[in-house]
Amino acid sequence: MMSFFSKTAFSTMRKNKMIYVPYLITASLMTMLYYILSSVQIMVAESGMSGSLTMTEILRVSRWVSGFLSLIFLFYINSFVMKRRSKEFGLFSVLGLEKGHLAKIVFWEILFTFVSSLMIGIFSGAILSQLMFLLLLYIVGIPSLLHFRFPFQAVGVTTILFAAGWLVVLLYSQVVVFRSEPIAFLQSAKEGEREPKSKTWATLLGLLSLGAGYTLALKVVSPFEAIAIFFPAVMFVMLGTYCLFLSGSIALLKLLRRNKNFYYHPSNFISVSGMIYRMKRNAAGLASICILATAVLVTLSSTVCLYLGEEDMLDRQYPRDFTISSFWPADSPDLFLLLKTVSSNYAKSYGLEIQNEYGSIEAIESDNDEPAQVYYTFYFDLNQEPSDYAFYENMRESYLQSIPRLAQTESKSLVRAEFFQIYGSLLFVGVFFVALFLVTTVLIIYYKQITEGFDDSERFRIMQQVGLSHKEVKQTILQQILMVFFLPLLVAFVHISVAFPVLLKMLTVFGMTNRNLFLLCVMSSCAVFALFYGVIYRATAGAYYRIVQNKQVS
Amino acid sequence: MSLLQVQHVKKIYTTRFGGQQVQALSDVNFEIEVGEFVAIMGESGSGKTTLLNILATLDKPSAGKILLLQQDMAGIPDAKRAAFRRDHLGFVFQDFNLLDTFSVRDNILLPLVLARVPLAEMELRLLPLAEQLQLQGILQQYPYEISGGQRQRTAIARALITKPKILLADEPTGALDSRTSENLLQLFRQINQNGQTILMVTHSTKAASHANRVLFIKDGTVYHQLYRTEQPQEQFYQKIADSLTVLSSGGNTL
Repeated sequence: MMSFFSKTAFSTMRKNKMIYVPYLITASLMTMLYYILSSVQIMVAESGMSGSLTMTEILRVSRWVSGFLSLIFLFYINSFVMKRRSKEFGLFSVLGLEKGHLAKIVFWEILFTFVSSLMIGIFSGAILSQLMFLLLLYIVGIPSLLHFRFPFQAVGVTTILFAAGWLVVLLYSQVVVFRSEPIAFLQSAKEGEREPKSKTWATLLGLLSLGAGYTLALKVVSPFEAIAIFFPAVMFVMLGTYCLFLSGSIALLKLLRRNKNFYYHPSNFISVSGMIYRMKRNAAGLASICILATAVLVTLSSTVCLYLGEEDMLDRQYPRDFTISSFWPADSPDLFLLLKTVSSNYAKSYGLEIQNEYGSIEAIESDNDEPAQVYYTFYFDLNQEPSDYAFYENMRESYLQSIPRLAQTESKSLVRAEFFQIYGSLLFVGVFFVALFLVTTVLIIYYKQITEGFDDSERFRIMQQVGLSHKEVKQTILQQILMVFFLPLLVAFVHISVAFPVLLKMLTVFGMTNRNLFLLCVMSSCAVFALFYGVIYRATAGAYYRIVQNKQVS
Repeated sequence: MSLLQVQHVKKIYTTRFGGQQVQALSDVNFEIEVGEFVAIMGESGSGKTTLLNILATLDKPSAGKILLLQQDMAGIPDAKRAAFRRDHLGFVFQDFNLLDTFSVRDNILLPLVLARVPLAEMELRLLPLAEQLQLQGILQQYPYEISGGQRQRTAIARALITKPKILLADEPTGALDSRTSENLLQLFRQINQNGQTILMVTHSTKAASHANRVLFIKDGTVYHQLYRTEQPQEQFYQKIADSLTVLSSGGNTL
């Protein structure tokens, strides 16, 4: 038997399905992503294939990060949903429900959302994780063995994490309910909101912070410096973005309003005034969209670049198929002849010839007491691929017998497999993060549009009475949304352009120095994202128009 | 000259689920001359708001004709409706319907901006109107910063700035206290004396007593009308009150 509160919870969710269904879908998708990451990690760890340790590690770290981000996003979205419902709570209070009752209703809603998103997420995750495991193996270039598995540990981990997350969401919502004042809600609808003041301090702080972030980014010289400044710079840029969206946008719009020839034109008149009016509420959402968009671009372009640049990095670090290196005192005789003879003999023992060989010498700085040392490296190819795998396995042993101070013996094909595992896993994980960011972005955009649709429908009704035609309504809406919508995208593009040199320096740590490849990756990421963003824009603008037009006069 | 002619107007609403029909207007006939100040009175549900919406081209009659300056309003294509409304009709609403996003000045200019009137022309029309309606001091303020009377005067300025053929007012004093209402009605008379035709829907006897003519609507049809002629306002007020009493008590002639 269901209690009154759970019944009310279900019926309010059904009535608010425009808000709840996307909320539920997002929560399920987040659960699914997390579940897939955990179960793929377990499958990789248990597969016992070569390189599984590195891959497991990458997956484990990113699983934690993605879990953490998912919870932050869920919390953010929930606070958004709660805000939209304050009026409903006000109505319930007037109808005689106490705050304790409201708290119970909210408890049931959140419990239901938690349980159903967990079930949907794990169920769809279980179906998809096998496919994702195969995809990962395909990306990292390991031939796959197909067997269906359902790792129960992953279910446990996912349940625990999301239970904890939803508990926080529940606590927050209860606080919101208990702090709400019913009368305020009912009056606020009529009262009208004040035009926001453009805050000088926020503009200044925003400019300073963004400037600091950009300067840090542009002044970077070495790769390690790039890594060191990356997080401070990101923090500065995020703070700057929020502040500038908050105050800078209002200042800009007010400037537009002062330009009478621009302002007193039908669609500008309506859009600019409307945007000034709601920029305060909007700014945080737009800044979040902008930051998520930047995160998508950074993640996508750098992981794709590392994956595509794998052969490039390999060639740079290993110019030949085999690389042998060794330390010797600076006054020792020329060792290349020795290295060449050893290599040649080893190859001959497998019936092969060495070719394209060459060597390099690098002086090593020493402390004053120790004798100076030289680092010899010898590179060579073989006339054909060794058919016997033992060639690789016994190589180091064999060299050690004749060269006592051996540093490394590397074969390109073995390193290649390793590279594929690392960068393939990074790409795989990168795609997951991009999916997580996108889901959140889409939901924020969707909520923004429907909230604004409801807010604006009254304004457009009045304007139609005064003589605004249907066609003009549509044009104005398109322009207004276009301006609001593409501002975050534009700023994200600026961000990534400034971040480009830093990211490139950071990639050199991985040995990735192909500037053009990275440029190509960044530009195509931008293009793909812009396209995706455009599609979302069309869809949500349609929803917005329907809401506005719903209440209109003929 | 007859400005507005309403001939056999009928409006039937069909409820959303299934065929139950509600007749809001059964057969409305009247004419309004240029320069008249007409009040339409009736109880809630008598159909007066429906009638006003139809006159405002916000709704269409189920049958009958409405002619504005001999032109049939049904003949206006949908695409031109908004422009027609903008150019020929002015509206004043009970709850003002001002936009909080615009300053008083921009609220007044809104219809002109929509009609793409040049900036210089806008300024030219705004100043005398603002003076007449005593709005000069608050042009830069926002609707939420000013009093109810000031808001309604702003709404009137917005309605008049297009120089409409007819000013349609829906319970213009409904949200105002009695003193502000009285000032507003004086203002309406003043505007009317300057040649503006006004049609006002109200259920306030006080408001109606400022008009030159009062039409009484009951059960979707014009039931009775009174002309003010030369009588003083108090006397006209009494007559309207008497008519209303008759209308609501013994008026069930049908």
